[in-house]
Amino acid sequence: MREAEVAGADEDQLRVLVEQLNSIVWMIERAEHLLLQGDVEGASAQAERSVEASKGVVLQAEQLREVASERTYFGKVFTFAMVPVAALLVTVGAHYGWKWWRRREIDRMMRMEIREVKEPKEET
Amino acid sequence: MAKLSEDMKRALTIFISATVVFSMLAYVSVTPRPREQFFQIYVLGETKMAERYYPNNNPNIPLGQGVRWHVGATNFMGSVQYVVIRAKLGNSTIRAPDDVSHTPSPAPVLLEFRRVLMNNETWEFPFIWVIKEVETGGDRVDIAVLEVNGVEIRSGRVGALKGHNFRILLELWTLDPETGILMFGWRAGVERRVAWLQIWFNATLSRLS
Repeated sequence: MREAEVAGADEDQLRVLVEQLNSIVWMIERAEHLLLQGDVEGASAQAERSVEASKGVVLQAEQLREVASERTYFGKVFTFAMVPVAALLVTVGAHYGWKWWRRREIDRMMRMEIREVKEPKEET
Repeated sequence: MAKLSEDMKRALTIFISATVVFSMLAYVSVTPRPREQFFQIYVLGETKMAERYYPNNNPNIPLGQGVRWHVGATNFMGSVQYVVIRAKLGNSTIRAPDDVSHTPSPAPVLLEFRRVLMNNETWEFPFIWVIKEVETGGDRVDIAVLEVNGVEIRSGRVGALKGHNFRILLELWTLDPETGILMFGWRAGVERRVAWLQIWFNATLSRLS
């Protein structure tokens, strides 16, 4: 189950397995209680049920781990595959942004007028 | 080799820089961040607050008097954990758990509470105990039978002078993933840590009327 968790299993699915594990813990406690009361048959039946249930949980945890590790793997591949795509988008954006800015600057320069500035004459 | 235009050089520089930055972002997003791993354990009084641990705030507990606490544990280990809380009965001379050597108390175990906890999950349960039987010999008072959550436990005869300074110890045990056995406390990376609590009380010979 820890492996499934490390593989990135969904929290809700993990919660379902944890609930099942807790019911198995309860079954074991019940078996111990029956044993203390002297009910060996009841205790062993309860213990067998808990063993069967725990096998089911192990199986489900394995399936969950498989699915989770596959999903995590593809997630990682997708994330890193997006790196050059994002870099390309930024490059194209920056290229045309730069061109646009240069054009704007040139246009601004073209609109400029040269005027003579009359400075006040210095008094002698 | 053909000379690259200024535009091409600029585009290439931006592309390489953006690739480096986005690669770092991608690495950070897929790498889990290290977190501090620990458990929290607590005991609350009958009002579910850190008060009124004894009936009428009197730590002298008579026979048959029910004492209600709420024990809780929270898992901050970053993973699913199997947790066991061991309740033990001690007196003033029995060794308490050792935080340095990580050894549990040798006091007799009253009851174990077990649960599988999700990360960040808090587990709280009532801990109701009653002194059912005591035995006396001179000044010494032995708790012979203690009832915890309806289960009668013959505690293994813990005694105290005049019934003073008994304590209930609560130790947190976890399943060690390396060895597959229960251990007192938990492993946080290479470190080992423990968590335990104790509450003192006196056993009086009077019986609750």
